[in-house]
Amino acid sequence: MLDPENIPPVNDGELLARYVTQSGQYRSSDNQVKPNLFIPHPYEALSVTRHLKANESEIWAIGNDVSSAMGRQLYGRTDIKAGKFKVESLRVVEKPLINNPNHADVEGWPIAKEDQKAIALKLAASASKLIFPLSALTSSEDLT
Amino acid sequence: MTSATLCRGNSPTAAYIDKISQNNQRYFAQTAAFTKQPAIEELILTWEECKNSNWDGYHAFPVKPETLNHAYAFIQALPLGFPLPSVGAEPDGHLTLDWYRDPHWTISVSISPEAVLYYAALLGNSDPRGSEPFFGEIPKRLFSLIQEVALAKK
Repeated sequence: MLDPENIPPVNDGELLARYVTQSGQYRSSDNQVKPNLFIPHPYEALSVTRHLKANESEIWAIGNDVSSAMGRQLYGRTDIKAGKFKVESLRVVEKPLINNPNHADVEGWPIAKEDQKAIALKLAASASKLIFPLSALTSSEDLT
Repeated sequence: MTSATLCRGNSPTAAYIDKISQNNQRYFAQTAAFTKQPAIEELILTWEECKNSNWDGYHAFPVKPETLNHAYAFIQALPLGFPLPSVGAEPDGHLTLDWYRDPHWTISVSISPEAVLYYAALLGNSDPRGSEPFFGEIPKRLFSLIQEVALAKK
């Protein structure tokens, strides 16, 4: 994980994770994430977690913390390059939290709902398919 | 639930046509090829999951019964046999109906409790978007976009 005392700015090439905690946030037919995963309401920013200096176990641990705090099931996560968030007015800003120094916010969302949806469609198109927690843990175990 | 069938007029003839139309719609809706039941079931399931505040743990607004009614009416307003959408919810309490061919050829329609339709599509390099009020019939421009996605050859 990142050193809380030394948080670098988000680079376009970094991978960012967005956790999936609703069955309606991905298509079970092909595991493609849906655009509603990227609608920030009621906040002005969208929460993501940076992969930078985090291993798979740490990324999943954050996902488990997030879903537990929400009282929801963690269906998985999608990964997306930070540069893909450079759509229209968006930008990614590092926003470390006490329990997640890798936290970042996607800011600059337009106000009009249809404009938010148009961006969310593009993000969903650029994002990875749903990555399941179990398969990720298995693959990380394979690496050890 | 809201009926999506609109009265076409006040004359006896209009009433007769409406009645025949409704009977036909009910008949065809029972057949496997034309049923909208899978989308209706997904709609109700989504509403059940999202009808209370904070359903996403991030202070989401609840999906109100009137939003459910509008979404139901929208699905019923689709032509018989038309490809059905997948249903979802957004944290502002809107229900979504999505048609999808691939990540770059897709359309998403959000339905608000005030019966406003907010939509955006990705059609290759084109990204049409807009909003329209919903009065029980799908606005022509929106339906044309839905057709471009739902009826596109794979």
